[in-house]
Amino acid sequence: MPYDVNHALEHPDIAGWALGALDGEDSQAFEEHLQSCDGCQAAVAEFEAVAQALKHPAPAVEPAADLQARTIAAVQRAAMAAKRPEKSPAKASHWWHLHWTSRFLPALTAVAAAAVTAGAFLGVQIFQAAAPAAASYNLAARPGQIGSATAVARDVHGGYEIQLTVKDLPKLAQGQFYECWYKGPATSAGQQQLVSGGTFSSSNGTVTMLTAASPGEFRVMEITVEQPGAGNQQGTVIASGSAQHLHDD
Amino acid sequence: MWVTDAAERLAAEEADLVAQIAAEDIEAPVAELYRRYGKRLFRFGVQALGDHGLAEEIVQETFVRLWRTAGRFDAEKASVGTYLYVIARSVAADIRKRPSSRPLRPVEDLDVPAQPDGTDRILDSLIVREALESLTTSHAQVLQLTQEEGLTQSQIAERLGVPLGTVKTRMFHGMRAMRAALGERGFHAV
Repeated sequence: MPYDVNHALEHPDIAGWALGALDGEDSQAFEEHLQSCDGCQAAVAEFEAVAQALKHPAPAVEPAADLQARTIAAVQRAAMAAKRPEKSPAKASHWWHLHWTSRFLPALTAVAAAAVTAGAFLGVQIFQAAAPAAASYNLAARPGQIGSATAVARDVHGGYEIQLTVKDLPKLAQGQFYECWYKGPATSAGQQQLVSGGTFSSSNGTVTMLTAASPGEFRVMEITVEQPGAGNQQGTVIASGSAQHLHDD
Repeated sequence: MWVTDAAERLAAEEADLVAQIAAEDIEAPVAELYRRYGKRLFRFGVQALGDHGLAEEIVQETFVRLWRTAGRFDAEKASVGTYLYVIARSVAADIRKRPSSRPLRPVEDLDVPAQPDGTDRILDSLIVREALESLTTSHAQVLQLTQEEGLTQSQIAERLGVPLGTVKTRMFHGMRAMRAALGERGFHAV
């Protein structure tokens, strides 16, 4: 039976009693009162359940600020992959372009706004001349860094799926994540062309990502350690390697 | 178990979000469900596997599997929250089986030790943490000082530099607020 709130308000020691937080004299006095007070007994029963629950709170760990954006992007990638049409390169290019610009972009904006904007722009050029291709990479640690990685980029009709296996990458600080990049030749204006392949947080293991950048044009792959909020590449490059065994599927 | 009208409204609202996902409207409903469950799923992952990176993987894969199965979700059988935890537990089990799922950092570096499955116990502890975080600072503070540090009311008064009566009042209202917060979250009272 629910306790009477008005009655309980007259006896605030109900809470301290249930929590075992009353000092000696207060505890003794409330115990005596409790013997003959049905109202307080009902309230104590309910507060004791709360006090019991309070003994086991989960640790207050917080997810990275960008995990929401990465989660939405992961679902959208899965949805795009499921919708991908059967072998039809011309249609596939159109489909990828449409979704890259209208659906995929908004979700990734929070994670890598600048890189994705560049990717969308580059995507038009890439897909106009898209040819099915695949490449493999061996990424070595940069001087002063540790770890290694291998990757396979596969044409999946309009985009490229990267299967990246990393080993013993440097430990991340709280809130940091790894980001995989495709690096292309500098533009005529001298700007470095970079397209994000995706982000991940395991220092060992295999992750699968999607990107619009063709390994035929963006031949260098880099892994950086980034902070949330940095859309373009701002972190330290920890490993890099060039496309090898470029071939048609 | 305390079930409130608010909880029922919430359940209907969340079932509608899943229906939107099933209809391929992904971004907004996933964002909303992440807002409601993302932190809890992440904490579940940390407790279940003891690693922040793997916990992130659990969160992402849970939502991917939610999208894959959204069309089959039956609100009559389970709430969206329960459904997400069933998925998350399955993802955690899959990660445990994976050869690469060994701890990525030395055990002594982990913030939280990995727990054996005990999903219900983990979920209860997550709800308690969330309920505690929903209280005002002054209410949460007195509850935590007594539960985590074992302080009596007079010791809390001394620590905070406030009258004993203030501690008694804060503790009483804090417990009432905590009870309501647990009820809103469908907590299974022990």
